[in-house]
Amino acid sequence: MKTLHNILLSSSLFAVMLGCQSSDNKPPLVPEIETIQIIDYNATTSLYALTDTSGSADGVSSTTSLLATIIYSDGRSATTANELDWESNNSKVIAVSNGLCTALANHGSVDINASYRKTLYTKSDESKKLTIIPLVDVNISEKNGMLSINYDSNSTGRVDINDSGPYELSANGHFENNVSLTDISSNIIWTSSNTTVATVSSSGTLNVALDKNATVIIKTSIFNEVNTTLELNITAP
Amino acid sequence: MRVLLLLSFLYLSLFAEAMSYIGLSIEDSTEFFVINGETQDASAPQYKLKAGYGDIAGYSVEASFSYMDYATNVFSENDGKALMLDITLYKGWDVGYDLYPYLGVGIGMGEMDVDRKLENSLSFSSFNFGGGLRYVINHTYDFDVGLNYKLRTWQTISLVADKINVTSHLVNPYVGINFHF
Repeated sequence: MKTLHNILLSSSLFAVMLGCQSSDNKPPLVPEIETIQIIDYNATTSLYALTDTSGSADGVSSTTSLLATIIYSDGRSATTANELDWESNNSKVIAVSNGLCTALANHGSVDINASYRKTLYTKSDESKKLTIIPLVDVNISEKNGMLSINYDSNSTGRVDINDSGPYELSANGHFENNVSLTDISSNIIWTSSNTTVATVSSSGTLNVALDKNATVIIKTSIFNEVNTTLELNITAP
Repeated sequence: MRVLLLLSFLYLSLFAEAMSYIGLSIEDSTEFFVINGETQDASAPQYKLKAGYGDIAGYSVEASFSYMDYATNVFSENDGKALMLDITLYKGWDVGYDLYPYLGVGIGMGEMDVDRKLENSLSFSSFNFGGGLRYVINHTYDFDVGLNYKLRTWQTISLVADKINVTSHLVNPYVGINFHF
């Protein structure tokens, strides 16, 4: 009886072991990630050196949105921006967050890359290259013809003021690629040398206090680079 | 105090003839994967080391540690070894002739090596039930044969812009031997 038990046990174990271990040459059922490729539907290669350009003319922008296509081993692909870690090799020139690239300097170029969990990266030769188009000159005028601004040979404007305003200043920008924009007054930085006498809003509205005679310097700048200077000669009534 | 007494009574009634045991079994593990409408099966032997306590003709609890080498390509080109830990509750009956049929239900967890870009291993949890027959060879040994079904839920797999949830169904006929003490 004991021998019968042993035979039964051994033969059962042997039979199970023989029937095991199948193999399959099909590709993995769960697809693998092949590559991450940055895509830019706008085919942007450069950004204008301006602040917020929302609402600007087509093709004139200081930002661009990138996406990344994830290509899988089964031929499928999916697009995302938020799932990835984006990196600019010079974030002081162009910063990138969730695929949105924003100009932060008046000169320079960067390479943009995307990665996932510090494991998957875009190939180095597939980086997105973006270059800043510098703002080289700004010409200030008054939109309603209330001021007559004269420029000297150094492009410094001078104007006499004997009314408190307000005046709607317009800034016409000229870029290194010979593109001129008629009004970038909301896309540059205005500063006044004496804000108790003259103030300029972010959109270029000038208000003057006529308490006494004064000279005030108004400057426009983009990313800490001064574009032009306007000297206000204020005469009290 | 009442609860303690009640639990003690329940314990004594469940394990009136309780004994400890350890055992070995070998299973023919066939696993069916269904992902995105596609199916694939993987078959490999599974080796189990188990330890339990209870009454072969009543209730018993068993913890088992299993090993199998998938050697398949469900998750990657080179799916590898898997380790599993299961806890199972059994109910057995004495039907005479030294035969003890039983039913069991349990839960488990485990991990399998894979060769993916984002994952080196995948974890899973499982629910299982099944039944079998034990033949008492003598006072110390019993021979065990049965069939077990296991529903396995795998760790969500990241595809960066997508995710895949995988479940699989295992059917495991097995034979084994237990040593009682």
